[in-house]
Amino acid sequence: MNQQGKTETLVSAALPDETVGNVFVDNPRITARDVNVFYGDKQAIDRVTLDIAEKQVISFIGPSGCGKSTFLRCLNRMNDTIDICRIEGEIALDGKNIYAPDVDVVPLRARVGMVFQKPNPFPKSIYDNVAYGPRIHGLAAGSAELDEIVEMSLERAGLWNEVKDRLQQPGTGLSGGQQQRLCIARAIAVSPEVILMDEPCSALDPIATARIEELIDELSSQFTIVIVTHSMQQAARVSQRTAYFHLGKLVEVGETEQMFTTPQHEMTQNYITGRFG
Amino acid sequence: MNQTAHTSSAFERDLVELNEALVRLGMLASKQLNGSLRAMSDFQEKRVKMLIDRDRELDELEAEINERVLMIITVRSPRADDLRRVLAATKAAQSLERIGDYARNVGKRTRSIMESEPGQLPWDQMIEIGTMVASMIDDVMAAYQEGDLETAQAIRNSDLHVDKLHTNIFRHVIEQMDEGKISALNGAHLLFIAKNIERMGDFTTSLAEQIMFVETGVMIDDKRPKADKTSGLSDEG
Repeated sequence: MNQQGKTETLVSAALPDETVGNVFVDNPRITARDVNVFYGDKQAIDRVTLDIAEKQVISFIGPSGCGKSTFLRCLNRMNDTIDICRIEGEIALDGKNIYAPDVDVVPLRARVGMVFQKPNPFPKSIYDNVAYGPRIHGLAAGSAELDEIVEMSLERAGLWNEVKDRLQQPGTGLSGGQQQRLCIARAIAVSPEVILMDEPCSALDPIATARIEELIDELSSQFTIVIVTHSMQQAARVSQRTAYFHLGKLVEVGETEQMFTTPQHEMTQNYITGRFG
Repeated sequence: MNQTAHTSSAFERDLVELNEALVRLGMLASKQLNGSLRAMSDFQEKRVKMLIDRDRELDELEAEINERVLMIITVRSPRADDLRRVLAATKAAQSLERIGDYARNVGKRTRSIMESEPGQLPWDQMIEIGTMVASMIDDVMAAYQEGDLETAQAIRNSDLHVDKLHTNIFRHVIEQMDEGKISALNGAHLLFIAKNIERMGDFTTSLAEQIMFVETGVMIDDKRPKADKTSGLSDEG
């Protein structure tokens, strides 16, 4: 590519001062403004501003250590559990700062649920795994209502038909893919507004991965979903918007199709095409 | 091409080899057109035979490029400019292979004319339009390697001139036929030869458009200027 062509189509390879692409959306569920995250003296996230749209899937991509998981964990204050972690800036859910002193993280994490890389069902029955959240948050008036929530959650997670006859068996006895769907059922049982997924398929085989991706697609009509993934094909398949992180900065964000066909920043292009220099 | 190498050296090698195959095909296509022009200025049977033989090479090379593209898509899952580059390679290969087909056809028709009436025919005009298209093919292949958008745009625009030359030849041949200076059969051959060369120009502009697509990600859909008036000519015109 000659210089002229390059300047017309790509922004240079240096880290940008401002994120390339439109960080704002018309219907934000979460708004992050000038977010900095430090682990002790080390800055892990550098002035990230980003809107996360309602009922849409957004993927966070980037090389290991780029800050995508750190930023994801800021969205339901999971980083609070790390003593040396310090967060600046503002993250609001439906306009309310989630880091305000009066915010209780327990209901916050019910509103912003999380699914982790490795399926982590509780050492309880399939039924109790899903019923746990509604019980502690007092979402069911009686056992019949709890049964209904459990069934509906397992249905929505695409697991009901496979487990309806063995609800009292341990969740840990399921296959890896089923366990991950159980964790998704557990997350949605408390009717969250947002579901955060941190590499939810990295421990699964291709068929189990395809089922989770199918599920993400179905859930996106009801929930706002943020997914961190190392699989660019997965990002391209499941999300409508993609954000590329590098060295703690949000380099570029845009419609997924545009990000994977005509990225604007050269770093994004180098990353998604498998070049890195 | 992008200067930063892929992390996977095998992927890098696949793209380089694909590009080399395309360069070879471009050189062969240019050689075919030039060979067909030489058959007009200095007809020898062996020149036509060489055009026919070499056309098989172009067919094989196009098939090889398509196989390479299929393999790269399957194994490497190319994205962004890489994906555009491999997709454009199939289209570019198809265009170059078609140019080769037309050149072979030009050679065969030239032979038919030479066997019957090698007299005063408008070969100079044919060679003029053919030389112009051959130069466009060479330029477009160089621009393809460089990702040179400016040259690609210039080549796309220069097809206008090819169209004008084609229209002039068309008119001239029809006049000669009307006046009985050229037989209907040879007149038809000459019209096809001119049209074939004009079509090679069209394929060359298609290659220029592929360059624009690869480099910018935008499919060119605006109508390029056209000056081929032959379809509108009538007895009165």
